[in-house]
Amino acid sequence: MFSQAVIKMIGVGIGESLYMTLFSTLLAYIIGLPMGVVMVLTDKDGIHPMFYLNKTLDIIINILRSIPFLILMILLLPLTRFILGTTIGATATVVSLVIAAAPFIARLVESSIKEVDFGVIEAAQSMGASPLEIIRKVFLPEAKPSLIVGSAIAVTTILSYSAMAGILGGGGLGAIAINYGWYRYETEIMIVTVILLVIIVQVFQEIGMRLAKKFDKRLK
Amino acid sequence: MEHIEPIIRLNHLSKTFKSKDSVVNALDDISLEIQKGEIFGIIGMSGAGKSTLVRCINLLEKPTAGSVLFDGQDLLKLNQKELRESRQSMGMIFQQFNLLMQRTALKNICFPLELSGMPGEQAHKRATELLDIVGLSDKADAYPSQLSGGQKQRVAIARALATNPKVLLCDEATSALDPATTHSILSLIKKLNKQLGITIVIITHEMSVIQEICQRVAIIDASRIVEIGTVEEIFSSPKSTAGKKFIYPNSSKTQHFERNRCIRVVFDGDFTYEPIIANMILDCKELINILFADIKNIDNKAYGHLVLQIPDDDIAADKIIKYFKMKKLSVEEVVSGV
Repeated sequence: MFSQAVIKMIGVGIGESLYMTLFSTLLAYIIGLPMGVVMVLTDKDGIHPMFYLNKTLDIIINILRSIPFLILMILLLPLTRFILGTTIGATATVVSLVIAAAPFIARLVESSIKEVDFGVIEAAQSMGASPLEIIRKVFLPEAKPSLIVGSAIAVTTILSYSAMAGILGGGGLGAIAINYGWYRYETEIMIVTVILLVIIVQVFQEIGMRLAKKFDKRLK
Repeated sequence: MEHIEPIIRLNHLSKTFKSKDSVVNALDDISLEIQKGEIFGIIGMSGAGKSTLVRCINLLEKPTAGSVLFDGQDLLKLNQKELRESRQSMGMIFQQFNLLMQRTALKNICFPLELSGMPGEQAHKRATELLDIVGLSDKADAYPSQLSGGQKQRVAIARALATNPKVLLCDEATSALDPATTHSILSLIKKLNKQLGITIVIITHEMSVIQEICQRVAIIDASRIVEIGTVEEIFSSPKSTAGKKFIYPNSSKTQHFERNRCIRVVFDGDFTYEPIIANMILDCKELINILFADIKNIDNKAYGHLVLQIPDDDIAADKIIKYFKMKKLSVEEVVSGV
């Protein structure tokens, strides 16, 4: 049905999509995870309330989350060019993916940690745990199953963002879908890429749910 | 006992919670002393401030005024790090157990040891010993979700004891447990008090808990301590209104019979040794008024009759009549005014 060249191209597309998605997710977590933790910590009912820091972070997260991804990408073109010297290709997309995903991840992390029972935190405090110890030994391990579910949501969202980036010259399956399906009317290729995206999302979601279940000791 | 320096001394402690449009005085000028090695109870209705009070002892809540002396040390003058260290000398257990759900029983007990910087292997050994003390050696690898309420509280107790604290604070520790489990947890606490000499502070709303294990008790009502003394003193002559309410919980339900329904119960020798009226009251949970009694002891058997005034409520009256009939006594309704 497809020529060798097309199949090879799709193969490269899958690789690029996975690379963009996973690499961006990793970097976005490096920024978003501490942000989420700080949000919980500095909340007015948190274990170390800091009103202004909390409010400032809250506003930054809301602003970044309210800009549609495509617009954010355009706004970030100068930054991308400054960092990488180019604005096209998979790596260039990573820059805007990270900035779009980090605040989203911060919110996911924040809500996961807030699920941890306050009584357990109080117990840790009564045993003399410092805020840092509470983060390391209570927040993160106790919220682990929820954090894993969150990361599955994050990965799949970032994958769909990365596909969108195809419009602005990003790589991956999204670019193939747009270049062939939209500009060249080769609908079959577009359908194939869409099916592949669906499968990748399913796989990530399934892995996430299974891992979460495996790690959750509340269920057994 | 009075001459020993108390392990915990609260001086004129007050705690006010302020929200946007209201001020709540949770604690109002609380002063009390808890002696080394005693089991001290603090009882109060919900909302009286007892949970806030116990949290002020380890500064989980910071009092608005007053001072907290623990083992001679003014806790409010400590910095964060010193406070965390002194908290390791105070274990605490909770109504909802508050175990780490993602750690096994053993690892839960290791938690405070990790915080105190004990090396892993040593912590593991100590945690195993503690599990043995609370009688759960076989549950080392179980997660809290696999344990019953009583077992969870045992793990929580072991965890609270891990760092050899001088005081164990119990915040409604048995309120989520059934009576049998409550009893076993209280016996365990009593045993630990005896064996380890650890001071126990128990917060509860149940007089039965105080009665079972405490030596001294403070009654807290509407943010103030209204009465304090040995359990014997308080039980034999409660002075405060709140104290009376705890000791005689049903006295407010005193009944007055409006209608004058009476029954005559005839004894024909079968019930010499059975306290039949008392049993009826306990079993039926209904009150009666003895208007007239004429019982003779003939050859160690009771003969005679009683005239009882019974509740106006037909269902209650019926219950009482049926009870006596079930006991094979002859019962007849009589016109009042014997």
